[in-house]
Order: sequence, then C-alpha cells, then structure tokens
Amino acid sequence: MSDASNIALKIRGLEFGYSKEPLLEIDELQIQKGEHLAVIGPSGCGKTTFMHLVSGLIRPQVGTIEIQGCNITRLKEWEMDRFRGRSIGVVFQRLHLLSAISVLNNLLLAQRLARMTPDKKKAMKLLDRLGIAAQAHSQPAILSQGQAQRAAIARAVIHNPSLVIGDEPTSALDNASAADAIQLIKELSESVGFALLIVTHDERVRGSMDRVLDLGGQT
Amino acid sequence: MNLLQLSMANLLLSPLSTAVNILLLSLGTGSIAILLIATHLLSAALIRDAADIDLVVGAKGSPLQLVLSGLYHADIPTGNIRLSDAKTWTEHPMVESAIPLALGDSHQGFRIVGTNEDYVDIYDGQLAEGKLPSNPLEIAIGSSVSKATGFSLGATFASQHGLDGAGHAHEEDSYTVVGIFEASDTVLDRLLITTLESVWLVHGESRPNSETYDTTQTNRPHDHEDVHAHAHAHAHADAEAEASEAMLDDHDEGGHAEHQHEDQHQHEDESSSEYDGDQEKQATLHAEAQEITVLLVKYATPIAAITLPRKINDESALQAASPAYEITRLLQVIGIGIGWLQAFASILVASAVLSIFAALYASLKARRNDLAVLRCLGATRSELFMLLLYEGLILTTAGIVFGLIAAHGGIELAGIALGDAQNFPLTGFVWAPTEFLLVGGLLAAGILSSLIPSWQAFSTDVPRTLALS
Repeated sequence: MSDASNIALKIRGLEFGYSKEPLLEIDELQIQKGEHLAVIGPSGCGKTTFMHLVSGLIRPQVGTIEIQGCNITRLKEWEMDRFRGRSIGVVFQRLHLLSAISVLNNLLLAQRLARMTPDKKKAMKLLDRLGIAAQAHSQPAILSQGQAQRAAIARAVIHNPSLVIGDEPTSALDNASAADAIQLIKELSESVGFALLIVTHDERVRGSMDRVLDLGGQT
Repeated sequence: MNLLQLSMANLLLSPLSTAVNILLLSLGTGSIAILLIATHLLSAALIRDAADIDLVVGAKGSPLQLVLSGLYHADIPTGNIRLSDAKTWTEHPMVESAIPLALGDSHQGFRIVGTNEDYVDIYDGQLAEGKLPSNPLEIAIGSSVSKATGFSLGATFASQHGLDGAGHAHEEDSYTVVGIFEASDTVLDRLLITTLESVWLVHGESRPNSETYDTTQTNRPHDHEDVHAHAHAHAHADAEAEASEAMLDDHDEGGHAEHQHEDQHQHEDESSSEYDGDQEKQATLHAEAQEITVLLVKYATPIAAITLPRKINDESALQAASPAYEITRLLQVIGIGIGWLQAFASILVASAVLSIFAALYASLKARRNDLAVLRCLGATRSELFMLLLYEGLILTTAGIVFGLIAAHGGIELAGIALGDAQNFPLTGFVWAPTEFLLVGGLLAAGILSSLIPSWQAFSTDVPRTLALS
C-alpha cells in the first residue's frame, strides 16, 4: 500500500487518440517518488504521445493525470506551463540546450522559468557534481556529446522537480556515455527524490529501471 | 538570466545581421532626425530673430529678400530708402514704433548695422562689458563677433563695403569697439551695432569735407581749420543723430528735430554765424536726404496688419513686407524640399523595419526548437511572444539611439565646423518636439515588425515541433 503523498505520478482511465481509434489506453499507472520507470514499445505505439500527455503538452480525451497530487488535465494552459516549469524536468533526445546562452545560464533560466530565484551557487554545485563545472561558461555548441548530455540532465533537475521525463536520452550516446548518463540521473533521482520516467528503445536503459511500461503490450 | 537577456543573447548569435539591421535603422532615423532638428532650429531662429516685428519697410524688390536682409541679415538688401520717405510712415497712427537700420558694410563677414538703442532692446541685448555706441564711429559687437574676431574694448578696425567681405575697406574711418554684448542666441550675436550717423559718416554722407559737402564750401579755409572741421563733422553728425532719432522715435516731437539740429549748430560754432547759416541750410537738406536701408515696424493696432502694408505698397515708393507671411511662404517652399527628403528617409526606415521583420522571421524559423524547449521548461505562450517582441524592440531601440546620436552629433559637428558666421546657429544640443513623434513612430514600427514573428512564437505547436526535431 503506497502513501498518497509519496505518489509522483498517477494516471487513471487514460485514453488518447488522433482519430476515433484510441492510440493510448492506460487504465491505471502510479509511480512513486524516487521510482524509475522505462516506457517502451514499438515505433508508433504512442511512447512520445505518452510523454507529451504526462508533461501536459497535450490533453487526454478521457481520464486523469495527477502529478504530485495535482490533476494536470484540469489546469488552464498557462497554469500547466507554470506547473510544468516548477514540477517537471525534461531531458530531450537531442538535448536542446539553448545555443545562445552558456551552460550555466541554461540552468539559471530553467530556475527562472520555475519561478525560483536563480541560484548560481546551486547551479555551479550541480555542474561540479556532474563533472562539467569547467564548462559552465561555455556555449553548448562547443561541448562534447557526453558533456552536453550532462548539462541537459543538470538543467532538467536544477529546480527540484517531482518528475523527470527523458525522451530517448541515451540514443545519441555511446555505451559508456549512456551508462554514465543513466547512472547520474538515477543518483540524482535518489538524492533529489524525483520520479524518473524514461521513454526509450534502448535495452541498456530498460535493464537499469525499476519497472517497465510496454505500451505495445500495455504491461 | 531572464527573457530580456535571452533576447539579447539571441541577437548576438547573429552579430552581422544584427549590426546591419541596426545600421539600416540608424541611417533612416538619423536622416529624419537631422531634418527635424534643422527645421526646428531654423523655425526657432526665425521666430526668435523676428522679435515681434510686424513689418519690414524698405526699397522695392523681393519682399522675401527685404525680410531676409532687414530682419535676419541673411540676404542682400533690396536697396536704400530716403529717411524723409521713411518718416512719413513712422508718424503714421497705426505705427507703434519704427526702428531704422542702415546696412551695407561688414567686417570679417559680420554685418554692421547702423541703428538706435531700440534695436538692441527688441532682442533684450545685454552688454557684457562697455557701453552702447553713442558717438560717431563707436561700435558694439555681438558675442559671436567678439569670439571670431578676438576684439576687446578699445579695438579699432576698418569696415568693408558690402556684405561679403570682398568690398573695399573704409580705411579712413576706423570704428572703435566700445561695447560687447552678452550672447543672446539671436541675430544680435552676429552683428556689429553702431549709430546711423556712423554709417552715414563712413559713407561720406555726413562728412563736411566730403565731395558733396565741399561743393558748397569752396570758400572755406581748409589748412588751419582741419581740427575744427573734424570736430564740426562730429558735432554735425551728433546733431543729425538727434534729428533723425527725433524723426524716427517720437512722432509728436518729430517737427522739432530740425530746431534741435539748428540749436546744436548754434552751440557748436557761434563765431561763424554767417558761414553757418549756409551750412545749416545745407545740413538740414542733407539730413533730409540721408538714407537708411529698412524700417522695422511694430503695429499700434491689429487692424494695421490689413491696411498698412497695402497702403505703403500702393501709396509710396517703398515696399512693406510682413515677416510672418514671407517666412511662412519660405518655410512652405523649404517644406517641399524637406518633405521629399523626409519621404526618402522614410523609405530607409521602412526598409530597416522590413529588414528587422525578415531577420526576426528567419531567426524564428531557426529557433523553433528553442521555443518548444522553452515551453517545456515552463515558459508560457505570452513569454514566447514577449521574447520575440523584445528582440524587435532591442533592434529598434538600438537603431533609434544610434540614429539620434549620429544626427545630434553630426549637427553639433557641423555647427562647430561652420563657425559663428552662419546665418542661424547650429547645435546638436537641442531636442525638437517632433523627435518625440519620430521615436514613438519608430518604436511602433519596430513593434509592428515584430508582431508576426511574435505571434508565430506564441502559436508554436510544441509537441509537433519536438516530434519533428
């Protein structure tokens, strides 16, 4: 029996489709704080759609999605934007660090958009923990793929979110870098306390998660 | 790091494009600002130097030329008029005051004006040092003249015939500087003020031993009378001064001027009464024949504006020109030219605004992923809208600021390069009220140019963009 306050994500009776035929149907799903879930399935099964639903970028036709006890399907768009900024962290497949500003400023901007006071010390401490403090003032374009991945992870967790969603975060990395990135993000999940939901094709990632949701088989 | 700083950083990602856009807008802004400032300076100088003068009366010719030469000292006079002809109008009941000016000489390009104290008063001329000229060949100089010539009190110089500095010098009659005016930002700064009589004296019209005078004085002993003759000339000039002032300044007492003239003569040289009898007759005739260049008239009643100019033009050999009318006409003519220049500058501004639009639109396309990421990080649609709007505003503001700095700086430099002898003072340290409109209009144009890209940012379809990336 799980404690309600310990639930990071709760989905009930979710249905979503781009046509009359639903693409996604999830009766019930719960993820505890600190829990790590891999979302897998064949191409076209709705993994990315699931990620967009959980991050509030699209809304389900039926069902509810609660993050940290907040039913995000009832939030207005701007409220969802703010909520997302505060409570959700996202790591993209292509990383998408803002190229116009330094790594450090990417982190400070994420804090600002989470409506927090930008904390440079905290950001530097996190970058140091991820081993890229020396690149804090570098532009993202000059980082290696591994460094950029670490910077993207740092940006996703700098504002202490309840849930971090990763969209194929290791697909562009070699084996060593992928393992390294997953290890780092899991460590951060344990220390910060966020739930981790990773959409992936990557068997390396799947094997290291606590649970697996197979959208192809709805496991 | 906030959205404004992010906008700035985005612009700096393409420094060349940003610089070109700012340069384009600066050129347009600067061009329009120069026209606005120059028009403002010209209008202000024209109004200031008009000094509430209602009418300029002078010789027949171009009325605009009469106003420009008589009031603004910016053109060649139309000719001279007889003092006696002018007197007819100074005594007219519709005339409150009339100030005579005798022009024609200059020094180092600065014009010498023979007049009376009233002329100084209409510009609130204050002496920084010395006194106003009261005796023949005394002169007070404007602040710009003082600066340009380096003259101090007691300095002497010969005037030059004509206004372009190319005429012959009146070497035999040197002026002595007796006063220096404080800067008044009016035409007075660029003038040398002397008495009417000094101008007449320099031109031989009051000189007892001048050719016209000598023809009536053939029996006059010359050798031992030189000193006497010189003194007499001065006394004579003084008497004429009083006579002319009496004629021009005081209508009621105008008839006494000749008596004063005679009295003065009696005091000066009682011992040669027989000789003076002829001389006084000649002097009186001579005073009547004296010439001035213009009369600056103020109306005693508003109705005079309708009747007096027509009356003077129809009933006399003189010409009356209204500064208000002529300057309005002049500004209309100048305005056509300025209008064309403004149209050209507006095209520059429009090009710049379009260029800003193109730059923002192109950068928007390149940064769609960034915008989607920002939404994922918690930015609202409105914040994305503002992000692009800030970029347009930053470009526009930079263009405006650099354009205004270039315009004001350019005019200031032009003012320094052209010096004090120009017909109206050029300074960049002024703000034309129309510049507010320019700045407001440009900011509005900048916002307009950013609206479409901003709206597209607002409408970014995040899932689709992320899926496509």
